[in-house]
Amino acid sequence: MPRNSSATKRKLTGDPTVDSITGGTGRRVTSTVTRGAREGLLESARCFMPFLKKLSDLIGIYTLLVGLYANFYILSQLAAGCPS
Amino acid sequence: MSIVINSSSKASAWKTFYDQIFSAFSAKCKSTNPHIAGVAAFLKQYGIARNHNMTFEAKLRLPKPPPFELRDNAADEMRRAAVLHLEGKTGGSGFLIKRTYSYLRQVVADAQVQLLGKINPKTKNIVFSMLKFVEGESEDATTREKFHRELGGADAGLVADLAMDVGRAERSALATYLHEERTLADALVHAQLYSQWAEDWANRHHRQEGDVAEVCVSKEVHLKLWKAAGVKVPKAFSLLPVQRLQSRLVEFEGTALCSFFTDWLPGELE
Repeated sequence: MPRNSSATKRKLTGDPTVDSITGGTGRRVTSTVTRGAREGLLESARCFMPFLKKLSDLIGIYTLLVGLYANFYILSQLAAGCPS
Repeated sequence: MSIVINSSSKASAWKTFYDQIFSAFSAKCKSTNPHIAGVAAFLKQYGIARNHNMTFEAKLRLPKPPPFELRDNAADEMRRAAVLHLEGKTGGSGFLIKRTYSYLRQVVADAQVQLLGKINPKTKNIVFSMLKFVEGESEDATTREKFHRELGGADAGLVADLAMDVGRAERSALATYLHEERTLADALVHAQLYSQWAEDWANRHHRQEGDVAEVCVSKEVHLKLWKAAGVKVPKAFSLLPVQRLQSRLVEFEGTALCSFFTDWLPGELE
């Protein structure tokens, strides 16, 4: 099957009205689909952003805690005279 | 302490070290993790205690740590920071050399203020020579002359003698670290002495309410002289880098994300 045939693209998108998902042909219908997909992605990202932000902040907090503990650990080991 | 004993050249050991610490904060941490007791003792000093569920609780509940896949990037970033901090950009004992350099400069400046009431403006010129001397450059009659020549001025002889005394003391103290196959742990012990000295210095010259006038004047005179001589005032430092409190970039894949939602946020999606 040719790589960029309309049949393949129809199959990929699952939409019989769609002729292309790449936009390579320059057809109006193509840009509509692309725009739709983009909006869908943006919508997903918008929903996901609070979780991502929460996760980023959480890792930031734990990174600080781990860094502080690492120093605490080294100092406590040195105080105990461990390295020998 | 195996991470330190194994020397910083084993970068993967640092990654394991930080991964283990991250895990030790988690309730699902393995019992073989060497940091379980340490993390509990560390958090206890902030009033956060581990409860029977192995989670940490205080007035404000400590959030559950992120799963391994998502914090992996942060641990790797910490490994890179630790290696760079200890070895410097050129590798080797960058951290110790840098700290020795600062220490020599500060000790010689401090001694001059105490003995002469001033600091020779060319003090920082001789510190490079002192460092070479401390690192093992052979000592002969020209060593002191070199210091004397680099310093110049009426007090050059006295400061050169002072530099020789400080240099000799450090040379013998550092001999084992710089010339033999010693571990990074030994170097850290020595660096900690520098930090302790800086802390003691700061405490000695810390101005507090109720201090007698002479002590306060001494502090101000010190700061003025040190600034004029271009020498930084001693400050205690951390042996390993401490990260800033800021959001970290999360790199994730589908499976990592799935683990995040099912493990960390089980109720959020229901």
